[in-house]
Amino acid sequence: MATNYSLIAKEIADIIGADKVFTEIHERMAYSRDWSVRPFNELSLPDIVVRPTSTEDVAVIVRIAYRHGVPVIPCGGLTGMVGGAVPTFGGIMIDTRGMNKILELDTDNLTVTVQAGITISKLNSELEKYGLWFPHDPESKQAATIGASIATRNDSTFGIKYGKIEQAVIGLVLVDGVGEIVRLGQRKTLISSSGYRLHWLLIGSEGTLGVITEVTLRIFPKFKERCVDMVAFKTFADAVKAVNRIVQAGLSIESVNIMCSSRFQYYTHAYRVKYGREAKIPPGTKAILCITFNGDDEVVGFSRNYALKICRELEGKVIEEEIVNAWWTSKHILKFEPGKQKWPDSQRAERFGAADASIPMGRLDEAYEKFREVALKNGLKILGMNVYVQAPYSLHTSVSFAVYVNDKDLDNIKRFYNYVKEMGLYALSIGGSSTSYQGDGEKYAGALCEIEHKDSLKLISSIKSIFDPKHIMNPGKKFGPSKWIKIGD
Amino acid sequence: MKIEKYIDNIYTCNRTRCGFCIDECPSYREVGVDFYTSRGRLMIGRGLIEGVIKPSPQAAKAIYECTLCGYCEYKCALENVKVLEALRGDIKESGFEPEQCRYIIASLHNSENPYMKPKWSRGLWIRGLNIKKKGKTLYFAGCTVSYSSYLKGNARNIVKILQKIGLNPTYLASNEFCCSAFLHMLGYEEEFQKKVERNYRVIRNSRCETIVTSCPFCYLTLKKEYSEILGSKYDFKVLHITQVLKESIEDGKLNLTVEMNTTVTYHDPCHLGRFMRVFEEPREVIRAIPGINLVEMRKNRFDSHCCGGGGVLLAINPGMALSINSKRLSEAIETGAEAIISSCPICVETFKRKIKYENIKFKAYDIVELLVKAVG
Repeated sequence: MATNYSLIAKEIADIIGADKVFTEIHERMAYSRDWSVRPFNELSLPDIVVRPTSTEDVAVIVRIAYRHGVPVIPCGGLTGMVGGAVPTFGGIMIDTRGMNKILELDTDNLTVTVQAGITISKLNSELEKYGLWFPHDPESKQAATIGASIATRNDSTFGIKYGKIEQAVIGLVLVDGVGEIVRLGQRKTLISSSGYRLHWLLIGSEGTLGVITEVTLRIFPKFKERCVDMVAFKTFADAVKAVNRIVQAGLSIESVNIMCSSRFQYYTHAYRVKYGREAKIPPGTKAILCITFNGDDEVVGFSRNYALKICRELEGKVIEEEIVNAWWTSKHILKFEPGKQKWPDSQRAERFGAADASIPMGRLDEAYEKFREVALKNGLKILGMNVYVQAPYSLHTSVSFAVYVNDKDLDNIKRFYNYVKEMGLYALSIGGSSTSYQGDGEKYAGALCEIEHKDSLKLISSIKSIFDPKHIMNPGKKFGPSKWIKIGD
Repeated sequence: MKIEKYIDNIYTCNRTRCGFCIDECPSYREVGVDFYTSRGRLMIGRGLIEGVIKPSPQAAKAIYECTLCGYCEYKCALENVKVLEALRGDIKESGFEPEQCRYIIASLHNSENPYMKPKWSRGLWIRGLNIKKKGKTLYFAGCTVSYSSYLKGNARNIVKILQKIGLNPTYLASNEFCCSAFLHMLGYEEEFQKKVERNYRVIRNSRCETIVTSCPFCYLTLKKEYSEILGSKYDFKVLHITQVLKESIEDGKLNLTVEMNTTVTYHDPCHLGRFMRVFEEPREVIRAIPGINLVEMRKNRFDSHCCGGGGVLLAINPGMALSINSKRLSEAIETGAEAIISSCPICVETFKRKIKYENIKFKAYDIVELLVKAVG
């Protein structure tokens, strides 16, 4: 029997209010895609969009969905790259951004408790009033919510100092797949050896275990100064060596990015717009290391000089300031020339598409060659490789291997996904991970997870069933067959 | 369909989904759903082009409840505002435009203003002033300044100041027309073009060389839109009053002698600031007033939040417009200033209206209102 979504919408509206429930097609259309590579004219419409404002609202929605056995898809800023928040099988889309309040700011213990739908930018603009800072910093921070950052385990510019989002989450409130409200983790301290760290299960869970509604995060006093530099190296290995030396020297480095020269051109879009020319780098450059230091003026100054000395000793060449500033604008400040924002400006004809993988630090040069080979084999134009460092004070990588994709050409899209699969399998073959910041999403669904976690697949499935016995939470993601990627093809 | 012209914009947004247009969008801040953002509205455009969405009063609501403040365009690389105007045009063609828009358009056609005021009363403010019939500088008052009860005396003050600095403006009086920005904003592109041709003839007959206006909507429309349609034959110099004032103060033609020991903040009108990039002139004029302390709101210049009065939202959903206004007023009050100054009659009227309705202990002034006090 077909699901009667009108009835479900009415049931939800009767309890949480009709002003929070949307069923018209023009209302649902905005929720039909994220930033994943998919045909330009494809639509994945949710049947209902709901905008709850509290944990209790979410519990009501999930309980009703559970009773009817219909999909629930939580969404944040909808900027994900793998269709993680796309309603693959329709269902009820929960727009968590109605839950956007700061519930408690504890300046003595440096914690903040927020509703999960607040964006990272909004949180930081509020914290700034108190001289505080939440350092998790994905490029999508203007749209990305705290809940979605946990659910996707997205990358952060400042990962080498502050880690990924798991280093920041003290505790959270979850509405599980039955509609029960559960508090996980601690309230004021990150450290506990009691029980299990269940809140860590939510890191990268992609909405498959429930809806995160409240989160307590660690925060920091806002630093006073920051310096940004770029150094050109002949190999990725040299750049890696430089970072390891900087860490070994005892410098408190804030961020590390290593780009190939093509990716560098993409990320200096702001420079091209401002100066009308390509950003120049020394001939023979293969890897551009980007580093920042933050703290007191004197400390930052010393750290910078010492770090650049190390880089020069390893034959690194420091890049001019205007280029560095343009890159930093692109990466962190996001204040582009008015009307010249890089993403839409660079995606008019072909779009950005990336395979993401974690590559062992000693194999980046090899990975770069593999990237070029696999892209070429699949007939894709290279956009470039970017290495993000995401573990505190150690060079554990999250790598974006980006290519251009024509989303009007289905064959091009298929070749893209074949390329993604090959890069994922390659990463696994050298001891890395098939996805490092995008998640499994619709892209892999369960295809690569089944290989990467073949020994623990039973446990993973059991955990899913405990949290979500009817498997209504974000179906089509992390589990089951992928629409695009089939192993053995 | 009008939006088909912008199909590339729509599909670029469709494939990008960067979300830069969301968080500071005034209507999103009110309603909080994706279809009240630029990217959501462009998706409605895609739905209309593909025939997935049929025009409806509900879809019209999402399209028209927007201040057209241009924040999305500033944060993007697409022609977001033009797409939104075209979307309004298509909704209008399908017969679902809000009825308030029809009243505005009827008023524009019948009496040359969007406020349903009689045409003959447009120039009543001029009584007692000695204004030349023809001259090189034309003062273009615009509809809001001409009719608003919140801006009484504003046009007279502007003329007196222009005379004081030796510009001796001429004025079209009952021949003055609506610049027709409203036609443009409501998607009546063809009618707009016709009005532009007619208005051009009226301006040409005045034999002016320079047009001075205090309304940013008129300023943008007369300077940019008219030029785009008329090409090189439209060779008038168009200035906003703040540009004239700034130059006159610098040249010593306008002396500000009265001390005003007060702290004020300046609100950038969207059409003067974000669209036309006139940010510093009004600030320099304010700073030139002896004793005045100008403080900035956290969101200023390009990042300025809208006052809520744009895009005809005040007529379509006054509750939403005034709620947007309330947020901006709070930002002004947060600075510790005693008053908010702006250089747009619609912004000033919206602030004054809100302050009056809610009896808020705060002041709103048009920049000329302030300046007149400083001239003494």
